[in-house]
Amino acid sequence: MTCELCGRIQQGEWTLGDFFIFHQPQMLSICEACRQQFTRITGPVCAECGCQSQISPCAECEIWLTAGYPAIHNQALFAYDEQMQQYFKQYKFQGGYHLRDVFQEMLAQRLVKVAPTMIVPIPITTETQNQRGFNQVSAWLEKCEINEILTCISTSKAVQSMKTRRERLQTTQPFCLVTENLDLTGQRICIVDDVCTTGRTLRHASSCLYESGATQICTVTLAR
Amino acid sequence: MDESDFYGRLVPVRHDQIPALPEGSMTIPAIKDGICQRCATKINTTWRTPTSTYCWACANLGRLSDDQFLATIPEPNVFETDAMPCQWQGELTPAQRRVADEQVQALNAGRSHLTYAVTGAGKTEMLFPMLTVALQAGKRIALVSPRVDVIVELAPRLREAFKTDFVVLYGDSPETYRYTQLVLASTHQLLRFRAAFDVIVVDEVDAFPYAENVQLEGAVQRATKPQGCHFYLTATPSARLLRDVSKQRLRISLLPRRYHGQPLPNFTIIKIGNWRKKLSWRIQRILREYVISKQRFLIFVPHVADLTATLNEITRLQPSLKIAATHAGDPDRQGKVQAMRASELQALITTTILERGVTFKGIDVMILGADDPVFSQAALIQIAGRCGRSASRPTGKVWTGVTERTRTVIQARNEIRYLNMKGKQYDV
Repeated sequence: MTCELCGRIQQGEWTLGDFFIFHQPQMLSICEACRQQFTRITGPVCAECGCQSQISPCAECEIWLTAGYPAIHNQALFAYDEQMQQYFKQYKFQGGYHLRDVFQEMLAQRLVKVAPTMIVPIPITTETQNQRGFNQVSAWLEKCEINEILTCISTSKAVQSMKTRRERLQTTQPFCLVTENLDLTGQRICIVDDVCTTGRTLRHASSCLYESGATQICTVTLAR
Repeated sequence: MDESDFYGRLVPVRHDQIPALPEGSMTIPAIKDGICQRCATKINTTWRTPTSTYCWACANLGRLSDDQFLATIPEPNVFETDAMPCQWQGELTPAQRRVADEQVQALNAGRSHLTYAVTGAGKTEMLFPMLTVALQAGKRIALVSPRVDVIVELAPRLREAFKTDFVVLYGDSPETYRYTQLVLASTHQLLRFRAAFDVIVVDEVDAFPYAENVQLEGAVQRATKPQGCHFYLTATPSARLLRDVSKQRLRISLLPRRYHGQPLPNFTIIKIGNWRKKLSWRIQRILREYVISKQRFLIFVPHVADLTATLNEITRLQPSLKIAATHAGDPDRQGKVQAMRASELQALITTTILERGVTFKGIDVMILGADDPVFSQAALIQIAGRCGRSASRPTGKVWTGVTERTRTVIQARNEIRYLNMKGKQYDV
């Protein structure tokens, strides 16, 4: 199998035991060497946005919190560096659905640790759905039990990654619940998204859920 | 969309767009029987979203999925042909003239042709008579190469030589497609065409990624009209191409002599031991001499990882030397190549990315670790061919540093020796 990022042929590692139990080593669409190049976020992090920071909350989150926004307690797994951008380019923008396997396990493990009562992926617009054919976040959570209770209000929206920072911060609430009057009382909800850049999207989603009575909300993103 | 955008092209459309297509257009499903109709790749079982299947092999041209269609209008060859499209003032040498005539003959007979001419023989200029005849005859022509650098370098030269308008297409080309008689493109772009061209010229046919790539070879075949023909240009033909020649499927023109008539510079093989650990005193002496003589040179190393280490070592030894390193992923590659060309840099360290298609006047070449498997025989011959390309300095040195004298290096040297011997039998 060739690695989707570097194009090198990767061979599965067989152990003697694998032969006896007819077990085939699992291979991901990206080779081990390329996976090593993703930078994991370790060490002291900001408890609010999940970025690598000595002080918590970091200067940016301080502004959000003093402005009166509820905390999102974001956890990010990887830094949004060149390698991650490369991956997103292929997976999200080129629509390589088969690349979802790379982070499935890691996200599932993190969600087990967070242990929410409900996992909610950030929705995509109908237009993106038609064009791309899949929700990039739900695809990662294929093996988890998810509740797609959020939906986008408008059918099309400007692509987030094309906006400037100021434009992003000025976006209005894009989400609503799938069914009105959904009672979320007592639920500990974990919202999952791909990248957290300003935190605007995540805050919109969480305020939407808080309005329906959610008790506690935290968020997990793949990259920050 | 304009009607002419569909001439001989495969334009992806959604189902609801079909009624709005111009008259006379035909549509085929984008993926049929598990085969992508654009790149003819068998669809992998993993290339499947919850609702549809898609082709990942040609996804960098925009992903095709099975709910899409490809629209096309058969190529009508409607363009204004110029009576005298060529305005090139230069003169071909008698040997170049001979090859050019053979190309014109092949064109008239509608047969495919291989031009095997050594590096620096003037392959581009030799094409001009054939291109002129084809343009006058109202044929649609594609000039393609697997190397984007070659295309980028060729565009201004063609623009100077021909009055005919053309588009330049490659991955992140600034131009958008429009219907022209002549198309300059990377081989990947041919996947977007179907039975469009009467003539396709493939420059550097042995280069990565075209060589041994079924997808791209198929792309060239499908972009050609049934009666169309191909012209392959190379300095290092693969065994497969030569087999086609010996089986008489392909005509060949051999030109083993450079336009200035001087023999090809051959390798000077020096054993340099473990050069990654310590640069051999022989290399150090050559560097010292270059600093004094101000001779410009290129250094080739096998891997991107070797670049910085070599650069640091050389700047430590010769701090006054103006030197830089570049590789395929370097954002400033064009800038450094330009600086080298303008003599702002005396030396450039690089990987095989600059092995072909670039011309620096009067340079020497140094290869470190030429015995690394990265350097194939063809790559080594191409690298040696960077040397002595200008008539003002038709010779040069190719210092070849090896740890072991491998078969590939020796064979490459013998090949150049053979070509030089053969070249003596040919007129300039």
